[in-house]
Amino acid sequence: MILTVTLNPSVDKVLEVPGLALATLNRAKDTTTQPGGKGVNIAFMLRALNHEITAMGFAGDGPGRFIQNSLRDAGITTAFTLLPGKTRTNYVLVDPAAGSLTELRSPGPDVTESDIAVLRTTFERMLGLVDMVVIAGSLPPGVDPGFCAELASLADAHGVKVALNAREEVMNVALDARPFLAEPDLRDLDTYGGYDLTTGEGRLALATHVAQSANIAVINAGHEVLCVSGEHVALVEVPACGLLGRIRLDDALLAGVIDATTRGDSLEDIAREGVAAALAAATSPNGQFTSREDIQTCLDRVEVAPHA
Amino acid sequence: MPDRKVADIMTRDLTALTRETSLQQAARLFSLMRITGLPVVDDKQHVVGFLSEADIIEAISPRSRDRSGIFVMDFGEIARKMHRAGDAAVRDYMTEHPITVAETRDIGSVSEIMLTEGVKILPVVRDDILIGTVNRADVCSALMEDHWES
Repeated sequence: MILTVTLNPSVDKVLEVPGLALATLNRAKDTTTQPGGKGVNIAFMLRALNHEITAMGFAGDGPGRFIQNSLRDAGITTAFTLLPGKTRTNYVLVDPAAGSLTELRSPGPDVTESDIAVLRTTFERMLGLVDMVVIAGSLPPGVDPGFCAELASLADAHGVKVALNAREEVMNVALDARPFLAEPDLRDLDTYGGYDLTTGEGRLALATHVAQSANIAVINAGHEVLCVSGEHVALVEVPACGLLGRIRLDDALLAGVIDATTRGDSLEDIAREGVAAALAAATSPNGQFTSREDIQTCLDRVEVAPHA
Repeated sequence: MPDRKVADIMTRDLTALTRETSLQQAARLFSLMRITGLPVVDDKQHVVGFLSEADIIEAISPRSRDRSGIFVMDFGEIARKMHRAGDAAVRDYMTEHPITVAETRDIGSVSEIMLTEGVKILPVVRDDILIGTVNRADVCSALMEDHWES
């Protein structure tokens, strides 16, 4: 069983707004509402690949209830720590004509020390039931970056593998827990911890640095994905995908990578499945693949590039 | 669908209390979740008890019965009960060894348990480990669906 931890889940509203402009009236052509947050998205996609999943994290009222119900409807067991505040709502404004995505993200509800203690107790209880923990996504107000490192250490102490996706401030401390798999969240960044993400050398140097603490480091630069394990490197160029597909491409990629690691695949196959999963999600209306067949049909388009 | 099982209607949620959870925290959870009770589990996720809102009300109720069975207000007792409940842990008020059901059990027999035992929520277990709960509303809804379909 895989446990996903989403400390700051969201409800994502995707609005298609042709000719989007600021400071004026815009009319949406189409609107969709989906449960969101990295860990939640990954939970849905791993479930689609027939993994037994328990999803936990913090959930407030209103949208939080919608997220939990949606997860359970998909056959995912929930174990959220409930908050009195409301779970955040994020907005994605898509302008197909301009080829642009505009994201508006909320910070999330305030979390108290008492809430954190409850989640920690639940997490420890779950560790006896799972083989892997996925900790992914942003932190709500009140949660220190060190908390993810604490969860990763607890999992490690129970012999449970950890897959971690996080921003730099979290990754820096969580790498000390030596996760099984680590993917720094590089969205909208040109540099990360002094590494230049605009060059292949910079990305490889970052991946090598992360792989010193994690068994597998995954670097997703959008147009290419780099997996490093020890001295072993697998580089996959990502074929172009549609605008909507970019919204959850990163989450689909991580779900594909995790799925491949559970089978003990080679690093090349792990990288290939990750990218194929992202492509499969990109062709889906809600940005998530829905079956293993979706990924299989995309695998032929993905090749591991020779790497010097 | 007369052979529908608990697995078809259960709520796959593992929210639970521990013996050490305070009564105050338990009451807050009931309110947030809008439910009437939760399983109590140990650190291996085994069900060791059940706490209902009735248990909490009993713990802090300002009422007590006199010898004739009439409810009377004893303000000294109220203060003592409130004080005790504030510090109390779930272990002091939970029902130990609660009835649990397997996910493979048919819904008809679960409805009988709920009626005869007067319980609203039953923990669902697999190998003694909590995997969810089934409540009266779920059972009622399923029985109604079965009735109209037949």
